[in-house]
Amino acid sequence: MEVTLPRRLEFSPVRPRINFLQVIRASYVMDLRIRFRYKANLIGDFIRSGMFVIVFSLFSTAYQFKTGVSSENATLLFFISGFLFIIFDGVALWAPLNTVNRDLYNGTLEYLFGNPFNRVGYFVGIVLASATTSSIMLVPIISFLLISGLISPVATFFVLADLILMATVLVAFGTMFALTALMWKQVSSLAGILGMLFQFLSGFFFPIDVLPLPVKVIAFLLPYTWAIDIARYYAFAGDWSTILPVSYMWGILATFGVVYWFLASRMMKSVEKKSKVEGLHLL
Amino acid sequence: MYEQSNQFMVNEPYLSSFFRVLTSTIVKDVKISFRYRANLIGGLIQVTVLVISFYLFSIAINFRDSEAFAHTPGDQALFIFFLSGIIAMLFQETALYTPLNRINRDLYNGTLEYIYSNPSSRYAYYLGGIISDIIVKQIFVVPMIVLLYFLTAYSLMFYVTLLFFLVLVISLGVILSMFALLFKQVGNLVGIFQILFQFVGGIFIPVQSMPDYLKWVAYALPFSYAYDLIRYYSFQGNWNPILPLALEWTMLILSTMIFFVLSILLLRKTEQQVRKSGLHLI
Repeated sequence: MEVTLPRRLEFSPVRPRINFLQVIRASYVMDLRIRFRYKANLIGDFIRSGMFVIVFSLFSTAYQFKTGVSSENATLLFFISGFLFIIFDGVALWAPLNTVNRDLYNGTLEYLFGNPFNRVGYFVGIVLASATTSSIMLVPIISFLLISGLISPVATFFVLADLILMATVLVAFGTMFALTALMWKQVSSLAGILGMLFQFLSGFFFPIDVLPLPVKVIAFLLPYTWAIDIARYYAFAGDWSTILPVSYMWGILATFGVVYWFLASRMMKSVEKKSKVEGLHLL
Repeated sequence: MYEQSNQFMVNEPYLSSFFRVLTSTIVKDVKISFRYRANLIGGLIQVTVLVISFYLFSIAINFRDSEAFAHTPGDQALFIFFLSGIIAMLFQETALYTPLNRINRDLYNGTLEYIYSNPSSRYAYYLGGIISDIIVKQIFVVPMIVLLYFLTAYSLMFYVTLLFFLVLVISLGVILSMFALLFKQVGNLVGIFQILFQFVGGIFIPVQSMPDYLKWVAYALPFSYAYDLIRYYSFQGNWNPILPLALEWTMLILSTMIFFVLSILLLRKTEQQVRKSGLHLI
């Protein structure tokens, strides 16, 4: 007796593919669940972000800037408005790095690359989950700023918009960093160096005016520099001399987003090709 | 006829010597560290960036109230303050993170049970890990100590303080290893300790400029006296210590001794606990 295959199987030239948004959602939910499973870590992060407010108030009591902001409250606002962005360090660097390492050591990375779904979506989902948990850490800090009257509700709105745009840029950066970790494995030191550059060159600790010109150029290449400067402009209710007019800085930050997303998708294609030729092994 | 050597006829259980365990752990860990040169070079770059950044920070700021100084601080004072702080921070990180990472590594590699079922000193094993980290860190620390010497020409007492500080670091490191062994998820607890030691203990902010209630917290932290003495000798006495000098030394020596004894007692207690309930993660 002759068996006839169903028409769908016989003629289907298109390989089954899982929808891009479905991959993002699945990896986002998975990673978020893992993060919420370890409540001790979340509570610890929450306490730490509160402790940093105390640390910065100590800094502003102990030190004053030679130029620009001088009062204790202004110095505190200077530090905290920068710190709001540094909280997202993990999104750009550590979350993607840890994910790749986890998959590499668990032996699940090969499976990911052997499945017909979008790998960018997988990394985006995980980096987004990290951005979500990092946002929780903002709650005690933003609450403190509002309750203490250091910042107005309108300014808070603009600072939050700035944070959302910056988070979008960092998700793309994080995806690129995950791909870098995938190819070169030992990138934890690079993550450490980048983390420091983000913190010290972006104007978080001190105004970038004190940087020598070549270092200032590097600072301009970091999205943090623009995002922090925008936030300070609104936090100080316009009483802050920005690097460029504020509308230009919004444009620059958005351009960073577009460029990083473009680079992330190009990099993914090149990593996929390379991994198919050489594999993803550690040795 | 074959005769058994005396070595095999001895009826006593074979025990590895404390120093042999210590030496082999140090040698093993130092070898591992030097195997991953990329990480060492990366670490060196990170420390350099940190020093440069704090130099720039010291250019941008002033002490709001220079109560900590016996005389008006000069331009370099802030940089010296931060440089000695970075040296202290690097050693303090050894106490906080080395034992934690070691326990986690052994736990996930499944080698922790072997360590506890062998007739060797566990204290030597943990001590070895911490000492090897301190040895490797010299690559970063020595250039900074030399730079500090060029800036301040500190006395021999600077090294004596550093030595006591290291014993304290090692003891606290072993204590935290035991906590990691018993409670597993202590990463965030260590993070909170780090903030306390770095900022309330006086690494980056002088305790003298803190509000009174935080000064009391600083007095309760074991490292505060070591940091303050390091500053006192870095500034060749041009520094007002948080307590009279003799009292600070007494506190440092006492806390070093207490933490050292505590680390040994806690290790024994943990061994008993481990024999009863095992080392499993679940």
